[in-house]
Amino acid sequence: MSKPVLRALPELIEAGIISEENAEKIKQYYLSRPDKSGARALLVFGILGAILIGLGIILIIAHNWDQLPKFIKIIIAFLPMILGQLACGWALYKKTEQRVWKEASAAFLFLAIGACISMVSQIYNIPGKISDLMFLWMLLGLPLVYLLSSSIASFIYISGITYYACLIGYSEYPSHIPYFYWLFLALVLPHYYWLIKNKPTSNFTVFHHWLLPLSLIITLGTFGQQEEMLMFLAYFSLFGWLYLVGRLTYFEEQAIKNNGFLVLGSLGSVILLLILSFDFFWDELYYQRSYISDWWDAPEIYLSIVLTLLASIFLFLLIKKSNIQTINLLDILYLIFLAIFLSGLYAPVQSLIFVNILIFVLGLLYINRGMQKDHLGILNYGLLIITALIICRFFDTKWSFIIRGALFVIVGIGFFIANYRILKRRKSAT
Amino acid sequence: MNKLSLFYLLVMVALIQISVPAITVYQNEMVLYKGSEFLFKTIPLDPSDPFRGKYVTLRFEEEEFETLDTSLWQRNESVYILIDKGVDGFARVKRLSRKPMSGNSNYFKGRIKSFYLADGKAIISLDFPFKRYYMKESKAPRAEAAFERALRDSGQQTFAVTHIKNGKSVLVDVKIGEISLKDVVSESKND
Repeated sequence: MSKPVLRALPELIEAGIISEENAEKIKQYYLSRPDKSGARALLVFGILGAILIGLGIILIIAHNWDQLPKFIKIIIAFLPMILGQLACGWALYKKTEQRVWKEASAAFLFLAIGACISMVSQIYNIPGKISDLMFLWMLLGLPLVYLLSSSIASFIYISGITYYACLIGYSEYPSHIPYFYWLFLALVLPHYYWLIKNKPTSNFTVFHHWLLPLSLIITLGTFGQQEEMLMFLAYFSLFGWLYLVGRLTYFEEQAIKNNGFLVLGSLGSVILLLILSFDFFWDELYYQRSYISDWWDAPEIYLSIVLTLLASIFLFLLIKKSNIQTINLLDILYLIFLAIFLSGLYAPVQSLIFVNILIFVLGLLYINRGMQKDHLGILNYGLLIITALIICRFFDTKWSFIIRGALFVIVGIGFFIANYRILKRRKSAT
Repeated sequence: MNKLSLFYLLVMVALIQISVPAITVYQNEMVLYKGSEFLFKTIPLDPSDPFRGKYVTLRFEEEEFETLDTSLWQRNESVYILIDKGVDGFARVKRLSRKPMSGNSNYFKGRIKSFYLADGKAIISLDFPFKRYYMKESKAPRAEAAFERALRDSGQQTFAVTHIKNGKSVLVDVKIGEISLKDVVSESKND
């Protein structure tokens, strides 16, 4: 009798809430139901084990065993990969129904491929860049995602291509735009679609809801090679688009914690607005106005246009699906920002004020929504937005300490009252 | 797709996964087996790589190259570097070319690091492809120290042993005098 429900049965019988007959029925139901937790634990530990062994092999290889003869080193390089391949073959042919075999062997093989390529380049002192190594590794690992329908392989792959894009776009010199990342990303999307269609509530699918937008957010900055001011526009449209993806029916039906697109889209927009609530950006933008013709030579402008169009298509779909009344400020935030950005070229002070007002209104909107939905998370998110705005203004306004202090006290009281009201309402409802 | 065809696909993928690193092994072995040996004078450093571990980065005297041929080169452009042996037995850069060379197999592919013209001469800084020498992780930092000591105390020549053939190159060893850097480190540990 490990389940809390079963443990509570004697107490419920004693209190006269359920009859003994009902208690017996409840007990039989739980005992006859197949226990899924065991299988899930096996899956988790199987995958963790395979990943740990794979990573361990990579680290052991990085030690450089220079006293071993070359022939032995080559065998050691290929052995884990071949074992991984045999395990995958076994999983595919004999253990078709057991997910743990497929996931664990795919994870192990994926890492073993990296180990093999690394060791071969070590043996022959091949200097190649890490990005070249990642490129080859991800390309050779990708088929595992589809052949074994492996989501762990897909995680390693998405993380790997993100790292690859960062190497090319941020850290290597000279850095350039990692166009191959987008091709790589497109290649994993059919698996994501398959997950959404076939396993809409699986934890693997939920991880993808977070990992994919996160990867996009991390790598979009690699486009910022020439006109970095425009990247703010591109990022804003990206966040706007992510938010609108999160508003699709499929995602709306999920709990907020599963909706990575919506959360990251909203959080990203708010953080960007907070950064832009300082005057340095608008001063620089005003100064850049004289070089505006250069913008048309920069890839950033086309990226911004494509992302804004993409977001607008999703906005159009949203309007078509529901109706115009259900559209709120958050859905069109990227369009409002676009207008503020463009007007900032001519009237920087006004744009700065608009941004500050916009953040404040957003905060109020989330507080209101939290109240309506009886959701403490959303409510406090709104309060946090307003607090962050005040903290930002704390540093760069010339307001007296009394005014700034009073603002903090007011928001602090707001936190108490708002949370108290919701909790009180919940209490009276029960 | 049924189980059997998925299985065959997996076998094909597995063969590709094996063959890509195996081709690298084969190509490098061919250069070692058939290529000519060249010695390059060096100056090392010591960074690390997250996947392949510790290595010693090498720089070569011959990476700085002057020529009267003033044809223009771009930074980061790939280049074929033709070499021969100097009177002291060490390799000398003889000529650069954009295309693979015919009639002589003693060339490898490198990169132009910088290029400028002065006094009717082209002064070119080259980037050789064999600049990483992987070592056991505990040895790499000590290798550098031993290396500097050898240079300071005895002025012994340090150099890289490479094999070169038709555009490809393999770094075989790094030596101080007649002793391999790996052995220098294990000897210095016993001091």
